Amino acid sequence: MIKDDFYYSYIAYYLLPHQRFILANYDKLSDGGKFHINVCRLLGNNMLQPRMGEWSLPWNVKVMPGYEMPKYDPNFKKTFSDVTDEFAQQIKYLINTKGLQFMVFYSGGIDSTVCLTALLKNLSARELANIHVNLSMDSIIENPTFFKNHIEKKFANRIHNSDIVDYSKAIHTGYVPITLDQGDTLFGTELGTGMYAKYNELINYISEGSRKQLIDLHDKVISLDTHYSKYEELIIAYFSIPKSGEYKFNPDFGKKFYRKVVKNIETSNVPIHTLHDFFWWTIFNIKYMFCAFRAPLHYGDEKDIEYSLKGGIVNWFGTEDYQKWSMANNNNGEKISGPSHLQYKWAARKYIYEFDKDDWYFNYKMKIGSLRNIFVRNYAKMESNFALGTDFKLIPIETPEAHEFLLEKLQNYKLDWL
Amino acid sequence: MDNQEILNSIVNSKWYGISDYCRQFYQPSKIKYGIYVSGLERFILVDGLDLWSTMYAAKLLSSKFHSLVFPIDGNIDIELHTCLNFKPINNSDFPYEGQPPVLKDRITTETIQKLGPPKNQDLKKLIHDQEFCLFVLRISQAIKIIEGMFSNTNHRFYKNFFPESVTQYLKHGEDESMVGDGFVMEIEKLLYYSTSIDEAKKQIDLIFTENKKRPYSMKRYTALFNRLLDYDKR
Repeated sequence: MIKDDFYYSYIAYYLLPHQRFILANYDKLSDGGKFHINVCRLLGNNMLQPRMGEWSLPWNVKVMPGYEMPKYDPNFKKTFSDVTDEFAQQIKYLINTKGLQFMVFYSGGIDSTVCLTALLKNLSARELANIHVNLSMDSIIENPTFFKNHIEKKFANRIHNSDIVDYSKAIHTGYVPITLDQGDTLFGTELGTGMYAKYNELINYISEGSRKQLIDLHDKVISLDTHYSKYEELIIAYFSIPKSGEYKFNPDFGKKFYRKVVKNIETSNVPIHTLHDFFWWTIFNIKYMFCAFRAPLHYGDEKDIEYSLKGGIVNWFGTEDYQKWSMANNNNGEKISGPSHLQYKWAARKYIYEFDKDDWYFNYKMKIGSLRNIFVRNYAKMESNFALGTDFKLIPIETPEAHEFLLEKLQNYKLDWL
Repeated sequence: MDNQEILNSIVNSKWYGISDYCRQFYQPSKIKYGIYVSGLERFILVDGLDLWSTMYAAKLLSSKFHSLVFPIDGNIDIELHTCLNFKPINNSDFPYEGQPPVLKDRITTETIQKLGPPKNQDLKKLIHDQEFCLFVLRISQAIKIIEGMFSNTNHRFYKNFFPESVTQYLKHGEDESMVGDGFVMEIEKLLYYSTSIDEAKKQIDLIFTENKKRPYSMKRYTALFNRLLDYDKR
């Protein structure tokens, strides 16, 4: 019997054979249960769970100790550079006191480039000898100049080539893995920047009376004189569009999802005002645990999960200071300086640019799905489990007990936020 | 200067046209080919000569930005000096996975929109970057011809058909030029890594001057390169 006591839950909806029982029983689910599954249609999977505020789920999920959201401190003054350099100094300290060997899983994107930049800036050549870089062809060609000027020269015999991310292998060969999975949670990218890119198309979905005003608001996503509720019609339209073209535009779902996010905002004690605040909060609060748990759960062995989650893997952007920085730096241009692809993760871009002076990277870098090959290779593993218990055991989805549990919960789950 | 005047300045670039000799190999077609910079949400280059050299240039430029390559209907009034005003409709549906450029379906009048230059960008800087892209495109068009003309001594294409255990020992230059890994490969590498026209030209000049010690083999490559690009005049 499955104990209703999780640290994490995850339902995927990619119509793989072992998900079909959910679809086969869809009509038996309550409206709440259908909503829970339909979140997968928006996001590809439903891995949302709150660290703060109300966000009900069909089953009981707790925040794992150590992953609670820090207290909001509007007077937090450290800059992104301060926080990043200080964390690199901590790595330096561990190298010098414990002789640890670290392995950075470098994707070539902004987040992992920040990490390597910090290490290159703050560590001596002798200390850098304890840093290894795990990368793939995708990583190299995403930022070849950085690879040629810095990685190739300064990590010469410590480059590990891999198209497969395997944190357990790194751990069991004596390295401390460093993952950069949480960069998006700090900056509010992905869901928000996805909407900004579609902005002009979303306008076509809304009432004609609202269009002119919303067209004028395109550039005001971080403007403190524009509350996110002014974009309500547009946000609902965005949430109504399914991730996969095989599903229909669903405004009923869009409204419910919007209201659920708003309910969460209203029951949390962090100020959320602008449109970018709204999307940042969605990932910083509700999607955070997916980003924090992704590496240990999906790219390592089950036996290492507890060890990894309790510090065996260094989650670079998961520190208290980074989170406090994120909470204290809304709408000042540090997260995004505007709604275009080239204006996101502004503080991170500046940090990298100050080191490598690469105008092209600074001006033209956009988010690329560079881990696609890795995701594809791990899909079966990711979608064969649906929860992590508080005993750190994965709960597979394809068992009679799991089916019984899921159906019962999804049949009883209510839309308690409407 | 208004925005369009700034955009028009690209026609004054030394790299705007192609040489008479190059025209023997490339002729304007009914279809144009555009390099769309995904992050910028605009076309940075439109050229009417050849799909594959445009695609090749986009690959070399992928060290700078992510792009998509589109064939564009010839009846759409989009040129190099106006392309920064245009973006495809429904561009948010494009998958941005992996840095290498991807070829997309042909753009028609129904699938393109004219929005003006991208917001929040320094237009003069953008034209400077556009000129670099144009330079890469012109060099790409030239070295594809060079590669074709000297293909009887270029083994790069064939190496993949043989076991690496054999080919790894065949370390001679890729072609008769005896330049590094081959003349074309060396030009490709420097285009991929250089960040400005001046920097690239200095490195091209270095290839020519360093290899004067092999006058016979380099002479043919140098002569053809100059002829295809009117390089000495630019």
